[in-house]
Amino acid sequence: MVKKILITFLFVSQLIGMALAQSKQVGGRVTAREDGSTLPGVNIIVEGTTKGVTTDAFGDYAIELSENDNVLIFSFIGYAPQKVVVGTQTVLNVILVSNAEELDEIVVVGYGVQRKSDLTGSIGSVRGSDLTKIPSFSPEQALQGKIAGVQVASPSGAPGAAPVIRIRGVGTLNNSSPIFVVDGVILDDITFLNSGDIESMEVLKDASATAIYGSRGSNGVIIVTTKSGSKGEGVQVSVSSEYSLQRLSKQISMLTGEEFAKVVNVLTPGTFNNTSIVPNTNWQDQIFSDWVPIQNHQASLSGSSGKYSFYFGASYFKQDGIISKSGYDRVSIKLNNSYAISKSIKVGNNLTIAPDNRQNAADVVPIAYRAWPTSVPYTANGDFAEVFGAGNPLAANEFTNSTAQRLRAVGNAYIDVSFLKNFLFKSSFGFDLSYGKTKSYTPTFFVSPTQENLRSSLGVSTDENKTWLWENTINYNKTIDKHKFNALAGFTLQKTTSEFLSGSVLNLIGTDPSLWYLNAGETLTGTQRVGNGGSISTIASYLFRTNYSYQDKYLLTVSARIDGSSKFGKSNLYGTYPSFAVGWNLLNESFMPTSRVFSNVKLRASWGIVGNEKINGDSRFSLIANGQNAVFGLNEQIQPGATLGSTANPNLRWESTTQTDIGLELGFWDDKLTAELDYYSRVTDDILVGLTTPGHVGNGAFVRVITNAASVLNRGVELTLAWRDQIGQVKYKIGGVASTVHNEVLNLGASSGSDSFISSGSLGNGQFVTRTEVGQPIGSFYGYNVIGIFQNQAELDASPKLSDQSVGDLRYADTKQDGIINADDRTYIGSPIPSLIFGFNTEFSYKSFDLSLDFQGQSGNKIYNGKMAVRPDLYNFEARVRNYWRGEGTSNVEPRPSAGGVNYEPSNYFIEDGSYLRLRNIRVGYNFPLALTKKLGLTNARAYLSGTNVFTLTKYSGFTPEIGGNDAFSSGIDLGIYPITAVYSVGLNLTF
Amino acid sequence: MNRWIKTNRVISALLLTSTLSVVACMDDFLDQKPQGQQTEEVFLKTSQDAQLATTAIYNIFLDWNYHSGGFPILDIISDDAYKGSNPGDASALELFNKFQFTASAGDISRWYSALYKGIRRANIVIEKVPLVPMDETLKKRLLGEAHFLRAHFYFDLVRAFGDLPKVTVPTAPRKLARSPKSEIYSEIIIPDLLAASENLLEKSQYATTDAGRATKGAAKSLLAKVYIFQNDFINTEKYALEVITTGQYDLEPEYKNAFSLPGQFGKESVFELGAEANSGGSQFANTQGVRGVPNRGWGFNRPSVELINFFEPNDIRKDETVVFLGETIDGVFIGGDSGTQDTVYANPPTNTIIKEIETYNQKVWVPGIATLEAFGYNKRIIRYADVLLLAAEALNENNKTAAALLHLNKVRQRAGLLPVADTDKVIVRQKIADERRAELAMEGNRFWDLIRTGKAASVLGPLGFKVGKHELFPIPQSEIDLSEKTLQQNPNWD
Repeated sequence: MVKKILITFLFVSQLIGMALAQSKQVGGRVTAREDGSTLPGVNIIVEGTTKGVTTDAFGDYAIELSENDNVLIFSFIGYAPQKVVVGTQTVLNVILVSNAEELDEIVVVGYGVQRKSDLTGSIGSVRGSDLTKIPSFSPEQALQGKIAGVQVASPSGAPGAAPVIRIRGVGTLNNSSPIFVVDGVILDDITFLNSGDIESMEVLKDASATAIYGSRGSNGVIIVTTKSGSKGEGVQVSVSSEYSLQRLSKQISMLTGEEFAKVVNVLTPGTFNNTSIVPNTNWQDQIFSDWVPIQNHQASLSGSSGKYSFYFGASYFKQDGIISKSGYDRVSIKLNNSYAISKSIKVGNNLTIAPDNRQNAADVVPIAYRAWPTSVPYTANGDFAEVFGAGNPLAANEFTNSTAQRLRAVGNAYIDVSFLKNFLFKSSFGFDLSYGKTKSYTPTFFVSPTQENLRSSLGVSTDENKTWLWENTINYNKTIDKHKFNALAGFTLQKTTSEFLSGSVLNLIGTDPSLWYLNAGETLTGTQRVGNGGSISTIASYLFRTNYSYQDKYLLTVSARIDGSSKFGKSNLYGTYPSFAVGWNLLNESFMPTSRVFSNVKLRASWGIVGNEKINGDSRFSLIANGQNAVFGLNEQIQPGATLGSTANPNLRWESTTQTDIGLELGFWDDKLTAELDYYSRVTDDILVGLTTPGHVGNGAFVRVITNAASVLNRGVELTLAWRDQIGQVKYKIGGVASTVHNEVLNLGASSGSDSFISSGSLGNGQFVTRTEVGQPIGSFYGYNVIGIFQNQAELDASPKLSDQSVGDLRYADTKQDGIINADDRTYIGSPIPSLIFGFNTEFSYKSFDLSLDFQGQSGNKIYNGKMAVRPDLYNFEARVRNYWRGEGTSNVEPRPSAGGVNYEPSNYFIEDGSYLRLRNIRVGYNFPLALTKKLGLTNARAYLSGTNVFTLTKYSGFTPEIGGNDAFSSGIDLGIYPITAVYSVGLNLTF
Repeated sequence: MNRWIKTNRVISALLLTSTLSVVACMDDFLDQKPQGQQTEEVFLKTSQDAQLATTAIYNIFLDWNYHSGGFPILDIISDDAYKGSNPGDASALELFNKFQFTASAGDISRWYSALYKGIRRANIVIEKVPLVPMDETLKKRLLGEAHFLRAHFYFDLVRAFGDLPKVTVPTAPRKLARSPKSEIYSEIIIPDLLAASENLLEKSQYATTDAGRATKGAAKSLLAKVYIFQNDFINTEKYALEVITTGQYDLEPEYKNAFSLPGQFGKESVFELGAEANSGGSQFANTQGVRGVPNRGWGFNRPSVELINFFEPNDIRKDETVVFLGETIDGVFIGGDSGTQDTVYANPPTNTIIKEIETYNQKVWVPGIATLEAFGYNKRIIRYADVLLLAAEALNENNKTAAALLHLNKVRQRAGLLPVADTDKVIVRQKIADERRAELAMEGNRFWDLIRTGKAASVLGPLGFKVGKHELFPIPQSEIDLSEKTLQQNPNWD
């Protein structure tokens, strides 16, 4: 941008000599570069005079110039002032660059900032209005579809449920989420932050960018910079308010009462005497409400005066759930200050305080899915009726009272000291304090023998998690002729202490919420329980980075971090994470033609190693299991028991990812078109994952132990394209991001005790539906390949089959072609990892109106419909069962009805396509005319309508194809989720 | 300006110094222990630890999964019972009734894992307690208990699955092939029970507060049972008679007290699982309790029409074994589940052949009208009547038919039946088998007895039993997969 202005300036100044000095009128329109919107109220003054005008509501201006007036200065709050030489022009349209956008040239990197042109790493940014488009409490939602290689899934639509973020595919098993660095404080989540308080979010993707975060960089790093005091003098006040309504966007199609009754009569003849008169209850209608509100209000003050600048923000977010008795609200207070003690010393603080409240509904979605449509919710006298299947979902919710409160305070205090000309010392003391409280009350009730509670119960818990992080860095900057050096060295310490205290009692003296305290419970020993535990973990790190550039053409970055963590035993205490990267700005080369076609040509390449240590601090210890009591004696007394707990792995090592990235950045026609292409390859070794231990090990059924299990490759290409231009008065911007992922297991760690394959993806019913094996994507679905239905006895007799199969059952492929079907014929039946993730965004503006559309989607991944496969009891069936096989030739897809047995063996009968395209957001905005806003004392007023998750094109039969799963050995399995909603919003932004 | 530079230097020096001093004690900073929890290194060093670890083995009996994966599968799979409850509830259990279950049935893997969890706890005691400095008498007893319990868990496993991964240490490798069934018997079960019968006290020697712990009599009774499963009638006779001659046990005069709440830890109880409703409960009886009116549980394990008709006329055990609708037990009227049909016919809509009638397992009945009390039900694993019948069977097979009748008739007499006077070995063999069915009905013995005596094919064949396949349960498919196929499947399971 700076360059562009320079070129314009030089070009125009050559014309100055030619210009004849005479009186004339100049006019034009002022727009914002960011989104092409017109800017009303821009101050325009003639340089060296007091003569000036402002733009009108449409951003237009006209000014009379005398013969000596040659330069106009355009200034507007929040935007960089711009000087323009008039020359002979009479129409002078000016594009202003917002201060925020100007940051685009300066990119926030780990422990510092860099000019974008000096970057050797792969970094994507989101800033400005893109941060607040999605009505959500969680700022991460803004990243979806905006940055190549970043996937944000919302596996649950429950109010206050955090999204799952994956950067460049799935590397690790245990916890694939990136870390967040908020104003220098390293955190695991940012759900306490209000999107409106954020200035920018940078996603660091390659090792050159993330290696400085060492053992925590493996899954990517998201740097969040919150807003600081506005640049100009005075105080800027802004207020915004948004109101939204949400509704379920899609129901799962199930059998009707009559259809279900007929199927049950096939299973157990005579169960329903007359299938045409059975009730028909749609349980999804029963549990979900339509048009449930979300509110989001915020106000901020920011300003600066001389040495002091501040930003103060306050916000309130409230979301009700589409299931009753679920909701979330949060207040977030933000206060950032900085004060320059002298020219060389600056002190400051960043602080966020966010109390929130959450109410959790009972887990009724699976219950409603399973409930028989032939049951009704209420008896004739208005009581909850017994509902076959999994109980009465309305009763389950009615008798569940679960709340959680949390107070989170995150921030830091820092001092920056410049000394000896080229040195900058920074010390920051950061903290993350989190205090939580939960309460859960269940009254006595009876609905049915399997849905009853004889003793009222209350559980209360409190927890506190305290982290402090002390970071010290010294930065050295030196330019000698054409050589630029920058070196950084640092030392950091971090300690996290957690503790919880919990208690529960039975038989409370009453049911009123005023009695939901432990003191109101029965005091008999044996029915009271207390719990108290904690953990401490520490990290100490040394970090180092140097950047060197020659003539702004050749760039070199070398960085390293050494981390020590208490999570690993003595022999594996420290891990070292180096990276090397080079960049080449070809445009600065003399051999490049000086055409105006290219505005940027840059090549960069990086290599480095980063790590992951997101496991529990005590994973390496074999702990003692207490409370393993037994009952003895004629009087039946409890006697205490204790023994060794689950087996552990004392040899846990750091997980490490070796990452290579080659990038090409192109800009054409003054960056009218920009393109960024990256090839990446990540190899993650010693992946940390909880592996299910076999039964004979004696840990109990399906207990998992953290292990360094495997090496995995993620490889792909990322492309980011943006085009911005104008046709007449319509300005538009079109952008797209796409990334491919090739995921492949390279080897299985022998230290895990598994060297040929790892079974995982437990459905909870004894079935494992994924297998991880060398050469396959991690956690691939594994089961029988269905090749039809046995149509008649002759086909059955002539075919290889499982011993319990009969006519009308699914016919499985004889994969091994040995004439028999057994477990060895199971095969790979799909991967949960999408091969392509994409998003495309368009923005249009015309006069005071603007419109934006964001699409996003993925393809190539499969979903295991686990909710359909898990059937310990007889549940309602999905609508596809309607077309079941009922005789030769009737179906070659849907088997005869059954409620368990051979047709429920893991197979691709349960596999569905998870590809989708979603209209993530559509927004129409209107900027009020200046004449009106001025009267109201406003500098800017804007109103908008928006829709989020408006539609999703997908073949998947469930609520949403975005199925998460924090464990990559078990992802993409839909076991029943709280669905996401379509949200329609109206909002107003005012700036004073 | 100079002043600022000086200040800068002072601040920098201070920070640098403090930084360096922190670096010096880095090792301590990075050495953090688990909080509020002990680690393996410090445990099982004292007499108290040894007692805690031994008690923890018994804790497995309170685990719902210990009871054949939660549900009374061993009765359901036999000809004595149907799945019960309402048709939709745990409908997958119906597959056991029809012999259509597969290797991926979760009940089987939960059961398998629970038994091995018990084995690991026993192995911990067997490996670590010998090294603990403590009272030698107590040490001997605790080790005896651990050996008894390990044998008990392995006996369940070996009958259900045949060849097994042989684990005798606390930490087993992930991949472990199956050892032959004979080796499990000869190297673990029998030596363990011999050690237990050597080291344990007789029932009467225990303090009343320790009722429920394994005894010498329990070890010998289990030995008798283990030998009969190997058709070693000589040893069965030996150990069963040793138990009988100690005089530690006798039949309860009233049949129902052999398994009822009042008969807990009574004279007929040889090995019994202690449970206490409030905080040491077991869900065993709740799973099978009367469903509906009164609401005592889920109603699984419905006595079959076949079983009801099997009892001889005048056999008082029929009424004590089966809860019929409309009867009153301990003052409680049994109304049953109004949501299901009381009678299910095998041939709708003609409805002439009765398939099931709504009944419940009375052996788990606990007085009361709510579900809570059922959690205090003590399951009897071995009772004296079983020992008498084992003795009778062994004596008969050892051609001591007259002596056999003595024990058989003791059991019959309590049931209100006339003594058997036959002298033909083959006839008496059948009488004893019938007596086992009647006496021990709904207690999880029938299926094993049919397999053991080779009658499963004829009796269970019509229900779906396939010879060469269903004599054993399948190794859970999940275990085969987790072991990376080191474990091989049982014959004819795909």
